[in-house]
Formats: sequence, structure tokens, C-alpha cells
Amino acid sequence: MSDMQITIRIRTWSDDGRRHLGEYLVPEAEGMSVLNALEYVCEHLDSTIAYRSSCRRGVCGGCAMKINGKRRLACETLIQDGMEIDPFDEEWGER
Amino acid sequence: MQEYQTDVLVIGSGGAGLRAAIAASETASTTIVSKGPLGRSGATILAGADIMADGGSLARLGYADLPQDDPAAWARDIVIEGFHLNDENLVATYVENAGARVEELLAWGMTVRGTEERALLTTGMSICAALRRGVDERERSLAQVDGVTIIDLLVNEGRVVGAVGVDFGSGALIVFRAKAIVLATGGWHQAYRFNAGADELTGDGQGMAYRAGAELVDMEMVTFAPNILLAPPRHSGSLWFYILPGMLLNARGDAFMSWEAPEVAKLAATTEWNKLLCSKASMREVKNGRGGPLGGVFFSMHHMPKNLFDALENTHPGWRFQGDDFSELMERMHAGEAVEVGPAAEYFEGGIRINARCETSIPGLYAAGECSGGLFGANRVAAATTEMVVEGEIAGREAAASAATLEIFPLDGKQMQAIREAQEDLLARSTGPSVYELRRRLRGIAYDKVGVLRTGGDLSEALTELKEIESALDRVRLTATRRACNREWGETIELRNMIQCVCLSALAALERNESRGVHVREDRPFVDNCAWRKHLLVREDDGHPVLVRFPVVSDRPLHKERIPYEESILRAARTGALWEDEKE
Repeated sequence: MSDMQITIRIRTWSDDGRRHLGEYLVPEAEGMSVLNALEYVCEHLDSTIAYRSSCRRGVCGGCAMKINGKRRLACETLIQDGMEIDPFDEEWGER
Repeated sequence: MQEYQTDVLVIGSGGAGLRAAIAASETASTTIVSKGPLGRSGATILAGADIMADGGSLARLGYADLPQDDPAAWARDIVIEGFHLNDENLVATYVENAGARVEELLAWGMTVRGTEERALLTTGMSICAALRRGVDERERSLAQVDGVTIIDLLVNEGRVVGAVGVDFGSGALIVFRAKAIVLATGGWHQAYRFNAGADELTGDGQGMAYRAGAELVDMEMVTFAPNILLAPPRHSGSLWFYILPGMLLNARGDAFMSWEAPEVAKLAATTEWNKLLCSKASMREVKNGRGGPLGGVFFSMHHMPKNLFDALENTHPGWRFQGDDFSELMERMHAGEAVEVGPAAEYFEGGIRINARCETSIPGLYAAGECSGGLFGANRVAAATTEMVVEGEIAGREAAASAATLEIFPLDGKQMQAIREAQEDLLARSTGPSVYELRRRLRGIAYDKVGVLRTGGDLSEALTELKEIESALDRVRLTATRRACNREWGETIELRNMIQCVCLSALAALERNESRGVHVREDRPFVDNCAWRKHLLVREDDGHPVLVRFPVVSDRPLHKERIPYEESILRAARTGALWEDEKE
């Protein structure tokens, strides 16, 4: 892990239940997926974010979410500086 | 509170859950509930995978690699390599039903990529797809609910009467009232720092069954698979290097498998015992300070001539495995780099005790697949995919048959209130430890002290530390107090189950003061067939675990069927002790 950090934005909830974009600094690591970054944020920075994950191997489709506006698998997408992640877009959020 | 009513409730939607739901919904109204993606969750979808039946049955299906084989011969091999600890009634059921289950999966469109003497090579994805086609094959009374984590079973007057869970999306508590319940929730992989399981494999079934008073069995028996990737992060947990040829090195570059006695090295290279022998040798390097920065050892393919390396890509097109693309990693391997790997929790021989009808010790409660225990004894050498469909079918059918004669039972109001209050307290608590901190501690203790290599001292320490974590769990504070989409809430429910599973595993591992199969006690490097051809049963009594030794039921003469690898495996265990001596 290098000392460099990247900034990512994750759509999450405020205390009053409204949705907002949170901004997080995550250590840059080679071969880090969006799912790895979400786990880092959840465990070290902000445990109020939420996402779903299951097989981690790009098979089950459980971590499909909106990444930079496109629906992709978090476990198979490499994290990049400036990414915007919405783990529950309109298709999922209102279930 | 939202309420579902059903004859049979199936919890878990991997292979065992799907097969149980198919069987139950033939005759009874059935509900299948899953916290992960329905029909795609759990271990099944990532299975290697082969599915097994005896060679004779496979020959009748057109795969004649071992036509003279029969279920009895296969059963014998399973029991010998299970170190004679298998529940032989379960083994008989397994081998006798395997052929029919494989035949039906083929009819549902399971693809076959190759054959072995007692196996068809396929993929977990293909098995899942076949089972989903089985569900869709005809109209059935089957309700499917996903995104719901079951918290606990509801029990009234000693009988299972339902289950209560939380819906992740809304945060609402949901009650399922049922006449019979099938648990099909898989292993507790996520309790270990390194594991090769999906995120939802957190021992939920074992935990809730134990709290409901059911007996668990063989909890000390845990299989670790070697060569699991620890880096880069996105590949962590993958079995990619488990299926490729390579060489294990320690941090100094020593090819440490060559230090094993010749027959041990041969077993490690050519038999099902490779999991145990390579895991054990890897952990010995780590424990002796010759491991890598992540706590593993190194996998190298540098010994392979370029043309052989390139030829490998023909059998692994595009360097793809499951949904992962390993082309970047393989470039590094090709350039001669070594990558850090380690043993990871992969399969749980132990679990909820069942009989050949998949009944647990609690009326109305059934279990199937990896969450059940006893079939494979001290080492699984036959397919878990076959286990899940054989037991799934039986559990679903038996649960439906028992439900046919019963009415819906009343709930125990006190239990309902206690569950509701515990969840309300958790959501309202304003101070306390973090669930992620506790989970990190649990994973470290489980992997380091209740893992591949065990000693009485380590296990005792682990039990003390696990007690602390268990009591800290009652004080956990959630960062977000909202109900909807509260990931921490779900993690807290799961953590309780994982702590219980590791506690019971450590307790049984400490009690079994011998080595047998995958249970390796460095301080007890011998198999004691006089004292220990016995299962360890455990159940909760007045809030405490009670261990009972229960002799293996068998009419097989032990002396005639000596475990063929016993000497080699014990020698490998003793080598570890020798290294310790040499250091001093």
C-alpha cells in the first residue's frame, strides 16, 4: 500500500434519512476494487454507508451498483480517483 | 409486524436450499428466504466444481470411467479417508441417492466439461442454473423472499414454529410462521481472517439451531484450502492458484514442500490430502517467521518453461476463472514474480447434527448441505455439491411430509418480545464497541488459534478471548440508527453466529486431544482410535455449551481398513514439532 490517497464519493444517508453524497479519502492500493474500497470506508471511516455484496468473484451479480453513472459489479471494477458510487440506485433503493 | 405463513420454510438459497424448496413445494406450500441474491448465494455458485456419484451410476448415465464401481465401494473409501469418524448412516444415504440427483441435474441442463472415475466436472454456476430450471419446471406453491436476514428460530414447547428476520431494504422485522423449517445456510467461512467463502457464509444456521437447543456435531473439523490468493485485494480469497501448477516458497525463497518426507510430498502433490498437507506446511513457515508480510507464503510459477506456461492458457482461456480476469497477475507470474498466498477456511465437516432423514434433534427442524455435520467425518474427500442436493431433496421432502399432518402452531409471546427488545436496544444504544473491531478480532483469533495447526495452549487462550468478544457483542453500538439499509445491523446479527461457531469449534478442538483428519493438534500428534473414534456432540444447556462424546456407529472392522495415509500425515505433524525443537 502506498501513501497516496484517492478521493471517492459514495451516496449514503444523512441522520434524518435523506440521501447525500459522502466524500472519502481512501489509501491507494494496487488492484483494489470498488468493493474493497467500500469495505475500507465501512470499517475505517464511516460505518453508516451501506451496500450489498456476496460472492466477490463476479459471478452472483449481488454487488451490481451504479458506478460513475453506469451499472457495474463492484467486485470486478477497479477503484479510481474521483469515482462516484451509488450502491442503491433507483432500481434498488426503493425495494 | 409483517407476517408470512407457510407449511415449510427453507432458509438459504444455495444448492441445498433450492433443492429442498423444489422437494417441499411438490406437496406443501413453501417459502424460501435468503439474505443474499436468491438462487445465486452461498458457496454453490463458486463451487469448483465436480459433482460425484459412484462409477456404476455414472456409467448408466453414459459416463463409463469406472463402470464396475458401486455405492458400497464408494462409501468404504469415504469412511476410510474420513478417518472412520463419518456417520455411516449419512454416508449410506449419500452414496445411494447421488446417482438419482446427478441424473436429475443433467435433465435440468447441467453442463458436463469432463469426467473422472466418480465425478462429472461442471461449474457451480451451471449447477445453480440447473436447480433454478428445476424450480421453474412446473407450477408450484413456492414464495421466494430475498434480502432478509433471519435472526432466530421461534420455538414453542420444544417445537420449531417459525423464524424472525430483518428485511435489509426496509429494516422491518418479519415473522415467518411455519410447520417445518429446513436450514440450508452453509458454513461459517467469514469468521476467519483468510477464507474462500461468499460474504453471507456466517454460520447463521448453526448459530440459530444451537440457540434453539439443537445438537451440533464434529465442530472441530474445518478444511483449509492452500494457495488462496491474499493479494491484490480484488483477488483476495480466490482459488485461482489452487487449480494451477506452481511451487510454494517461504519468504527466503526455500521450496519448503521439498523438506517433507518423500511420501508426504507425493501425497501433497497427487491426492485429496493436498489441502491438509500444503496448508499445514504453509502455516508452519508462517509460524516460524518465514512467512510474507500479509501472513502467508509465496506461490511461484518461475520453474515452468515458457512453452509450458503458454500452453496453460489454452486450458484457461484469457486467464479467466469464475468472473475474475487474472491476465495482469499472470503477466507478473510470467515475469518470474511470486505472489503471496495462504491457507483459507474452505469447508466445514461439522455442523448441525442430522439423521438420515435430515431431522435435527428439534422436532420440525431439518438441516441440509454444509450447515449439517457428520457425513464426512474428519476429512471431506467426496463432493459437497452432491451432499447439498442429496440432503436438500431429503430435508425438503421430509419437512413437507411432516407438515402435512400439522396445524400452524402458536408463537411464544415471550420469545417474540425478547427478540424485538434486543433489536430495539441495539438500535438505540449510544455508546459501545464497534462491530467491525470485534469482527477483526474474531477473525484473527479464529485463524491464528483455531485454524490449521492447533495446540491446547492456543485453544485455551482463544476461548478466553472469544468470551471477551462475546460479552462485548452485547454492548455493540451501531453508527447509524436508521432501520433501512443498515449494514452494521446485519453484520451484528451475523457476528453473533460466527462467534458461537468459533467458540464451539475451539471447545471441541481442545477436548479432542488427538489428531484426526483435518484436526491437527501439534501437541498431540497421534490418532487415538481407542479413546477417540467418537463424535463430539455439543448443545446449549442453561446458557452454556455441554460436550458429549458419542461413539461412531459402524460395523466396519477398523484394523482391516487402516487409513492409508495415517502414518504420512502424522509424520507431517511431527515434522512441525521437530522444527520447533531445532529452533531451541
